[in-house]
Amino acid sequence: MGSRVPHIVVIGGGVIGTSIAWHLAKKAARVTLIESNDLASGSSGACDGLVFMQSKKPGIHLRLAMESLKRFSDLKKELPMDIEFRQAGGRVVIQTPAEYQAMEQFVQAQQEIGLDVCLMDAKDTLAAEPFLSPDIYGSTWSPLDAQVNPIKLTLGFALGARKNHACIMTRSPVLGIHTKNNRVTGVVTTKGEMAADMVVNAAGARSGLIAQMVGIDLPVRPRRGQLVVTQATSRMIFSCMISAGYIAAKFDPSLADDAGEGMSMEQTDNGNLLLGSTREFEGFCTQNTLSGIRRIISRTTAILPALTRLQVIRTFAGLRPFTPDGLPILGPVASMDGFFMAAGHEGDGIALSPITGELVADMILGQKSAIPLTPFSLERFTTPKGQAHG
Amino acid sequence: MKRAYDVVIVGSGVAGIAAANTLAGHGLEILVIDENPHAGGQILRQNCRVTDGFWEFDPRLGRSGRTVSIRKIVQSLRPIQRPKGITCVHQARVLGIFSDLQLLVHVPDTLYPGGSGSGRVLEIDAGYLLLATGARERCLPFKGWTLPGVMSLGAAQILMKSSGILPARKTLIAGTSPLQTVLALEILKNKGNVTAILDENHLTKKLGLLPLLKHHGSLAGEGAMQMLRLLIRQVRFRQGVRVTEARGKNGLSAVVTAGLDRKGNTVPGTFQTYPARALAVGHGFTANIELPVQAGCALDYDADRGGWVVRVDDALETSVAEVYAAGEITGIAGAGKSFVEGKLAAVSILEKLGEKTGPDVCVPELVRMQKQQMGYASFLNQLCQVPSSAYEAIDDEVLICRCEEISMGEIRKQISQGFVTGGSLKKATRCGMGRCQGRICQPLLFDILQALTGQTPEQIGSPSFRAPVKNVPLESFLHP
Ligand SMILES: Cc1cc2nc3c(=O)[nH]c(=O)nc-3n(C[C@H](O)[C@H](O)[C@H](O)COP(=O)(O)OP(=O)(O)OC[C@H]3O[C@@H](n4cnc5c(N)ncnc54)[C@H](O)[C@@H]3O)c2cc1C
Ligand SMILES: Cc1cc2nc3c(=O)[nH]c(=O)nc-3n(C[C@H](O)[C@H](O)[C@H](O)COP(=O)(O)OP(=O)(O)OC[C@H]3O[C@@H](n4cnc5c(N)ncnc54)[C@H](O)[C@@H]3O)c2cc1C
Repeated sequence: MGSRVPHIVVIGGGVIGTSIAWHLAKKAARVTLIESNDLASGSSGACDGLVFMQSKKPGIHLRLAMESLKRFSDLKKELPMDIEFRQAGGRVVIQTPAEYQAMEQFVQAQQEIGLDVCLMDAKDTLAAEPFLSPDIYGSTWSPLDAQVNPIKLTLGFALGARKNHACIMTRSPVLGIHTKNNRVTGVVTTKGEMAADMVVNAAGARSGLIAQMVGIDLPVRPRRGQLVVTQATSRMIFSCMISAGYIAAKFDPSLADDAGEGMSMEQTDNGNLLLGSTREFEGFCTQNTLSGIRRIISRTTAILPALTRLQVIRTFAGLRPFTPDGLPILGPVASMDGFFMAAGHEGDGIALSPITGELVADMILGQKSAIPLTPFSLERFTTPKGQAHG
Repeated sequence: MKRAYDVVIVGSGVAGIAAANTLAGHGLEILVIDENPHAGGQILRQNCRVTDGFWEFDPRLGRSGRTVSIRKIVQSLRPIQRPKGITCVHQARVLGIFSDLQLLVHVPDTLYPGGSGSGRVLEIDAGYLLLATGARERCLPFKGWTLPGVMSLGAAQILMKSSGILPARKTLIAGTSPLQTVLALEILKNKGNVTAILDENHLTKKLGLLPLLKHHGSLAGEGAMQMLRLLIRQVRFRQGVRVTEARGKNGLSAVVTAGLDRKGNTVPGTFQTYPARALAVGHGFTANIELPVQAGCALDYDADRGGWVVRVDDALETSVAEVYAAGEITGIAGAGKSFVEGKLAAVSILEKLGEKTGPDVCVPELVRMQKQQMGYASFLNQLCQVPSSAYEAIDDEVLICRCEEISMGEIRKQISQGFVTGGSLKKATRCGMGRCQGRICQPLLFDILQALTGQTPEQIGSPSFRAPVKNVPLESFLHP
């Protein structure tokens, strides 16, 4: 590379790619971000904006999320767009005695590592959220949980990156990656070829297709999530909410097949309620289905009956970049020099985007990072069992 | 209502009725769905008030080989007994189309009594689908266009036709649309007054477009007759002026206009103020493409056909197999084209099914009529077209997206930040994400992008829509 400033190409204009581009550009790196469609046209434009701590497994996952959360308040000031970050707390709604027992244990584990979370009975829950159904059993509450507008966050990162002289190319699908002696040398897009010293794969649910261009197999699969949007209305919920079933579904994919998909609810700054969600493996199909919509509506109305008087104004579906252990794949890959992974955040990409951008940028620029990336390496899936992340 | 039909027709306007007529009598199970309480669509709804039974057009209408005028269409409509195999469902809305031609339909409780009062959502399977969803009006925004008392030409028409209410004692009419004269006559018929018709088009532009009416003597004649009747009633006519502002505190009290040069640019220092309680204004039409877009049908952009329209082949089949389109959604050209295409699409479907069409369907004549009708499309859409400068001149404070309250200033700002595709501008501004799902602002946003950035339609990109294409009570999903 000599003394020349290396050229870094980031593939993917979702929340992860734009965050990386912004962090790199801020440190004066030479960055080009390439997006096949428009910015935030993938999952990052078809998702909720929950920045939930409670839903993360204690361990490296929660640590990553906590570090990410810390960075949101600065982002609010630094990014050239209002990202609608609101830390109004979050609630896990409990609907059965069995769930209550399970959550008691989960909360205890969280409290032990110092997470600010508590268990509430039905009475206290209803006092805080008067529109919830009186049939609920209780909830767990954490003042740490927050929400953000995922589209604005992505656009904010991108505008910020551009202000710091990153080049952003939209409507330019990457078709191939050039390599020489096991090292990346450039990318081919529909708009031509471009030399690159490093390539970052931030193509979300499609990152597997990008990796294939350099002969790497990724265990990333698209996991569809459908969402229902209601008309804007006066405040109906005061913090974002998920159900205890959602947590179960996150950690045990087999549960998601039946009633275990769980539910999520948030009310945006504009007053629309976003109701979610489903967890389905349907390839790259982003259609909604009547059964998916019905499942979401019956689960959310059971918890928030007042929803029934609202109108549905839109539905959509995004593809979560699923990995077998629920953790993202970050960092270099052994078999190809100059090729870096930053994908596979499943249902947490929005929440984890600030820390992901920072860690990946630091790693690429050879700087010391806040959290070591080893637990997130691709090789964890190939090394023998037991040696994976701890 | 069953859960599966051989053919489902969405829209019972001129195109939908013509198609259903042609499909009847072949032993097919046909479902016609329309969200209005009556059949007839935009122009026949008050002629189709009888609830039971069905409608047909005099078969001679399709055999002439010449273009048909609206008057002829209205006159040749007659009530008939509902043909065997045809089911009509009104006040039902098609919300989406999914793979294997599965339709998501919201039906009222009148069809399924005992519901919650908000209807229910059903899935219906279609063997073939004919989309005949028509068009709606478009309007160039100006300062104060959201004030009570300012309405579209069509809204003023509907007000009188459906509830017999005049927009006000005196109404000011403006824009570029041929509906201006239609509305003026309707107001006079209802014993109202028209302050003036403020037509943006100069006479020279209109005369220049006349050659496009080569095959449309009857339509040109109809237009001339309307003008004459208005002149006899001493309605004031001004040409080459545009409304630039509507004023008033809680409702409209005055309208400001500016004179236009030959190219349609406002001429400085030519302002004039009219006192007014009601202003009806319109700038042509835009196709109702939400449902076909949601279904994955490819679009074409053609200014002469009114902007984004559904792409069809000679058989009127869209890019999605077994989905056909007819009428305004394949190109804005008025009732004549809708009639012809409704019939032709039905013929194509019958052919696919191996059915022979009856002797009263003359395909070569219909094809000839369809071609001629396109000349009228060019006339109509060029007449209604507003120059780029009109979009460039929109004040920063004017609201473009009424639902999300997004101003022109915000749109300019985001365009300057580089959000220059339709999709990215929508994301950056939320324009079109509101309750109306962008029905009003989406075509506008496109025109603004074209005017302000000079990009091609392909660069800006065609709009995207998702199910449900219309708002629907959440509760209706709870009753399978
Ligand atoms: C219903 C739902 C709800 C969710 N809720 C939350 C939540 O509340 N909180 C949270 O933190 N997360 C949530 N998520 C998860 C979150 O959306 C994702 O983790 C996150 O958006 C992933 O970001 P990304 O940048 O990796 O992927 P994406 O946003 O998909 O970005 C990848 C980009 O790469 C582009 N691309 C692909 N191939 C190419 C190519 N060949 N060339 C160029 N560009 C290419 C794509 O066009 C796309 O824009 C939710 C997801 C879903 C589906
Ligand atoms: C406001 C307005 C006023 C007009 N006035 C005149 C006039 O005075 N004279 C004239 O010659 N022409 C007029 N036109 C032009 C008119 O479009 C054509 O003359 C003709 O009526 C078009 O017929 P069509 O069948 O293509 O569509 P339409 O007549 O528009 O019929 C389409 C039907 O589809 C239904 N529909 C659409 N989407 C759905 C859905 N998702 N679910 C269920 N139903 C649906 C609509 O309710 C409508 O009834 C007017 C147009 C408009 C928009």
